[in-house]
Amino acid sequence: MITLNHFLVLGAVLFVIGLFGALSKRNAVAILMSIEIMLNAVNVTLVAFASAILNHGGKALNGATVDSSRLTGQIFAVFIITVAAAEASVALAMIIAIYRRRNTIDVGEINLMRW
Amino acid sequence: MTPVDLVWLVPALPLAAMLIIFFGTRMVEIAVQPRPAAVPAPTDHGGHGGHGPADAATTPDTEAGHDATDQTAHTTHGAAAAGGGHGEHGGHTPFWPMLSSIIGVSALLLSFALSLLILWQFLDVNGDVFHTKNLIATGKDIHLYNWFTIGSLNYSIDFRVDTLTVVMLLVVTGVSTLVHLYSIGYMAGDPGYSRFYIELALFTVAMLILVLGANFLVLFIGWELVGLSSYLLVGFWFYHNPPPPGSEVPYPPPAQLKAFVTTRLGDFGFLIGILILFTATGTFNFIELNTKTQAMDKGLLTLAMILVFCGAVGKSAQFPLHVWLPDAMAGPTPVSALIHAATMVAAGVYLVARLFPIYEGVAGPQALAVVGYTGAFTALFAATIALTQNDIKGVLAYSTISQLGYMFAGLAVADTNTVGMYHLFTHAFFKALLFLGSGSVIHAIGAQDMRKMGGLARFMPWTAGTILVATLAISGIPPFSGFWSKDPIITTALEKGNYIIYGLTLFTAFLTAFYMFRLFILTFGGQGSFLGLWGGHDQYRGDAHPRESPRVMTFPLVVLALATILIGLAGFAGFNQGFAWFLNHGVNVDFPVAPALDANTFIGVGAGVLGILLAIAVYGYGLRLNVALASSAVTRPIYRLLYRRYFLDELYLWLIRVVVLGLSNLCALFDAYVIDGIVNGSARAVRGLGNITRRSETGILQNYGAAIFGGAMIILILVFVATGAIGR
Amino acid sequence: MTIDVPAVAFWVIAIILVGSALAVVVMPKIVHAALFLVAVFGAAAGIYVLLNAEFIAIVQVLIYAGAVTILILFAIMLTQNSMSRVSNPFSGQWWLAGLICVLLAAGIIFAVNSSPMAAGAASDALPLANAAGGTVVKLGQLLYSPFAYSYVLPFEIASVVLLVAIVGAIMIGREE
Repeated sequence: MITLNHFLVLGAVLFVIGLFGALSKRNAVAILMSIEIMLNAVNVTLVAFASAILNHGGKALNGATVDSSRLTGQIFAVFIITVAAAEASVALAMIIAIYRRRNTIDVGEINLMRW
Repeated sequence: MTPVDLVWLVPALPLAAMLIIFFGTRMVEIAVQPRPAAVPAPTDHGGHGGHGPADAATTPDTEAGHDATDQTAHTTHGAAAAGGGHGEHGGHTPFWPMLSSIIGVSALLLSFALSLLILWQFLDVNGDVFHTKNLIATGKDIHLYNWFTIGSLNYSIDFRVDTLTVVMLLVVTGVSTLVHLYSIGYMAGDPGYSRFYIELALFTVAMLILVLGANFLVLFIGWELVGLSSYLLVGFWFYHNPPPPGSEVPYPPPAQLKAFVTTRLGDFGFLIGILILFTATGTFNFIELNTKTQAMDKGLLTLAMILVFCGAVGKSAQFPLHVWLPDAMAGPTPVSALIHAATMVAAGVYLVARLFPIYEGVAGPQALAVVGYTGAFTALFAATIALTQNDIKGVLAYSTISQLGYMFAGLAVADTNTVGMYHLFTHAFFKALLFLGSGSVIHAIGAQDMRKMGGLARFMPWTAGTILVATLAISGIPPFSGFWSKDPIITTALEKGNYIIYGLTLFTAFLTAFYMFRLFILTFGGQGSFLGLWGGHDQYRGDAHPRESPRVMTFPLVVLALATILIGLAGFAGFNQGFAWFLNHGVNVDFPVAPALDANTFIGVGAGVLGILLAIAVYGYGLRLNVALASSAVTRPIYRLLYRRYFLDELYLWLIRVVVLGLSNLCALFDAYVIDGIVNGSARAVRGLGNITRRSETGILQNYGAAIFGGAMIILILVFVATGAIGR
Repeated sequence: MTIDVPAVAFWVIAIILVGSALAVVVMPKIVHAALFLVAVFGAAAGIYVLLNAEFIAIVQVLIYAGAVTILILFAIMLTQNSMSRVSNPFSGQWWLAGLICVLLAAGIIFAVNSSPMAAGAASDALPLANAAGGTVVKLGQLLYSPFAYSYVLPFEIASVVLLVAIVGAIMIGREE
C-alpha cells in the first residue's frame, strides 16, 4: 500500500540530494542540475498532494473543504516547470557569459562579493 | 470694565509702541535714508554724547560710519556736530526718528494715565466711582491664559494688581515717561535714535511684566526680559572705540556682557530657590505661597528664601554682585536713570517686598537677617567707594548701590515692607533726577569726569537747582522726600535694637551726605561762591562752552524736583503714614514718623548735616583734607583701595582666570582624553570587530547557501523541540 | 496473493529516481552527471503517471528530458575545457553540506511522519495509475478555458515570463 507519505518522503529525499549537490559542487553547471533536481522534488510533492486531495473527496488534509476539481497542485507544477525552463535558459546564458569573461565556471573562484 | 481689568494695557501700550517703531517708523527711516557716501574710516568713536575722554576735541562726523541701519540722521547730524562741537551734540532729529520718540512718549503717557486711574480705583474705598469696594484690601488676580498643564500642575499667565503693584506701576511708568521725554533732547541726532526708543520701550514693558506677575513664572519672564533689555541698552553704543587704558569710563561691549552675566549669577540662585518652593508647594502663585509655605520644612524654606534673595542681590547690585552696576554707566545716561531709578535694580527690592509675608512671617529669621546685613553692609561699602570716584556717573552708581542697601536694610528691620518700599518710592524720583541732571551736564560739556567740571551752576541754573534738591533729598535733609524714607530705616533699626544695622546705616548717612555734596560742589560750585555751592568765579576746569540744556530735558528735571519737594512737604501732612496705610491694604500700621522731634531723628539728620558741612569745608573752602588723606603714607593705601573699588573687579578677573579657566582646562583635558578616548575607543572596537567578522563574508555563494539552510535546519529542530514533537 | 503492480512500480521508479539523483551529484564527470539527470527526469515523469498526472508527465518529458537537458549539454560543451580530468569536483565544504542535508532530511521526514495530518488522510492508500480517468481534460480546462474557472491569465503571464527569459538569455549570452 502506497500512501501520500511515501511520495512526501521521496520528495524530501530528492530535495536534500539536490541541495547537497547545490551546496557542494564546484561546477556551476552541476549546481544548476542539482537545482533542477530540487525543483523536480517539489513537483513530485505538489502532484502527490493534488492526487491525495482528489482522492480524499474534496477534503483538504486538515479537514477544510476545497474544490478538488481545481487540481491546484498540478497547476502549480505546470507553472514551476515553466519557470524552471526560463530559469535554466537564463542561468546557462549567465554561466556562458561568466565563462567567456573569466575562463572558469568554478564558483569557488567567483567571489566578487568577498569582503 | 474698570481700569483694573484693563491693567494688561499698561505693558501692552509700550509694547505696541515698540512694535510700531520696530516695524513701522524705523523701517521707513531706513528706507528713506540716502545712501551714505564713502565714509572715511572713523578714528574716534568715543565722541558721542560725552562717552569718551576726548570728547570735546573729537573730529566731526565720527558717527557716520557706525551703524549702517541707524544711518539716517547722520548726514545732517555730522555737519551740525562739526560746527558746535560735542557740547551741543545733537543737532536736530529728522522726521521719522522724531515720530518714533513721539509714539514712545505717548504710549508711556497713556500707560501712566491708566496707572493713575488704577490708583484712583484702589483709593475708591466706598465704591463711589468704580463700584468696586475695598479693592485695596484684596487686590485682584487677572487670569490671562493657561500656558500649559501637566498633570495637576497648572502653569498660567496671571497678573496680580494689588497696592504694591500699583505703587510700582506708578513709579515705573512715571519715571519711564520722563526718561522717554528727556531722551528726545539727550539723544537728538543720534544715529540709533529709533533703536533707542525700541529698547527703552522693551525695558519698560519687561519691568511692567515683572511687577504685574501674579506668580514666579510671569515674574521670572519679566526678570529675564529686564536683563536682556538692560544688556541691549548698556551696550547701546557698542560701536564706540574702547577708552584709553586707565580711564574710569567703562567700555560698552564688555560692560553689557558684565551686566548680563553678573546678574545671571544671582539668577542661578533665584531659579533654584523658585524650584525649591515649587517642588515643596506645587504652586508659583505668590498668594498661595503665603499659605502653602507654612507647611514647609523651616530650614528648607529659609534656604529657598535666601536663594531667592540671591536673585535680588544680582539684579539690585548688592555686594558681592554689585560690580556690574558701575559699568552699566556705559549706556546712555537716560538709560542709567531708568536702570537706577525705576526698572532693573528696583526689581530686587520689589521681589523681597512681594515675598515679604514669607520672609517675615514664615521663613526663619536667618533669611531676613541675610537680607538686612547684606543691605546694610552694601550701603556702607558702596558709600566708601563713592567717596573717591571722579566719574560723575560712577559716584551716582555707587550711591544707587548704597541706597539699595538701605532699602534691603529697611525691609529687614521693619515689621512691614512699607519702610523699604517707601525708600524705593522716593529714591526713584530723586535718583532719576540725579541721573537725568548729570546727563544734562554731560550733554552740555561732553565729559563726565568731575575734574573737568566745576562752577557749572552759573551756566545751567535749572540743572544745578534741581540736582541740589535731589542731593539734599538723598542726604536725608528735611523737608525733602529722602528724609522721610531714609530716617525711618535708621530709627527703626534702632527701635528694633539692631545696633549693627543702625550703626552702619547711620554712618552711611554721613558718608552719603559727604560724597553727594562733594559731587555737587565739584560739578556746580567751587571756591569763592556762596558756601562753595553756586558757581564761583572761573571755576570751570573744562574747555567746552557749557550752556543750559533744552527745555525738553530740563522739564523732566523740574517735574522730578517738584515731586521730590512735594512728597517731602506732604510728609508733614502724614503722607508717609498714608503710604503705609495704602501699602498695607488699607490697614493702619505703625510707620515710624520721623518728625517726632526725638533725639534719634536729630542724630540721623545731624549725621547728614555733618557730612554736608565737611564737604563744604573741604571742597567749598579749600580745606585740604582730601589731598592730605590721599597723599599721607598711612591713609594713601586706603585711598587707593577705595579708588580702585576694593580691587573687586581685579579679584573677580583673577578668580575667573585662575579658578574658572583652570577648571575649564581640566575639563578640556578630561574631554580630550577620557571622553574622546571612550568615543574613539568604541569606534576602534567596532572597527576591530568588523575586521574579524567580515571574514565570514567569503563571497562564495555556497557558503551563504550553507548558512541559509543550516539556519533553516536549526530553526526546524528548535521548532520541534519547542512544540515537544521530539520529546514525545 | 496478488501482486500490487502500481506499488511495485512505485518502488522501482523511486529507487531509480533516488539512485540516479545521487549519481548526478556524485559523478566525477559532468557529462555523466548530465546523462543521469535525464534518468532523473524520466523517472520523475513515471512518478507523475502513477499519480494520475499524465499531462505533467508529458510536459516533464518534453521540457526537462528534452529541452533543459539539451541546454545543459550545450553549456557543458561550451565550457568543457575549463575543468581538468575531474570535471565535476566537490568543493571543500562538502562535509558540511552533507551534514546539513542529512539533518534536514531527517527533519523533513520526521515532520512528515509525525505531523497530526500524517495519521489521517495522508495514510490513506492512494489509487495509483487509476485507469478510470485521467486529469488531462480537466487540467486543460483549468489552464485555457475562457468561460469556466481557469488560470488563463496566470498562464499568459507565464508565457510573458518565458519571453522575457528568452530575451534575457540572448542579451546575457551574446558577444560584446
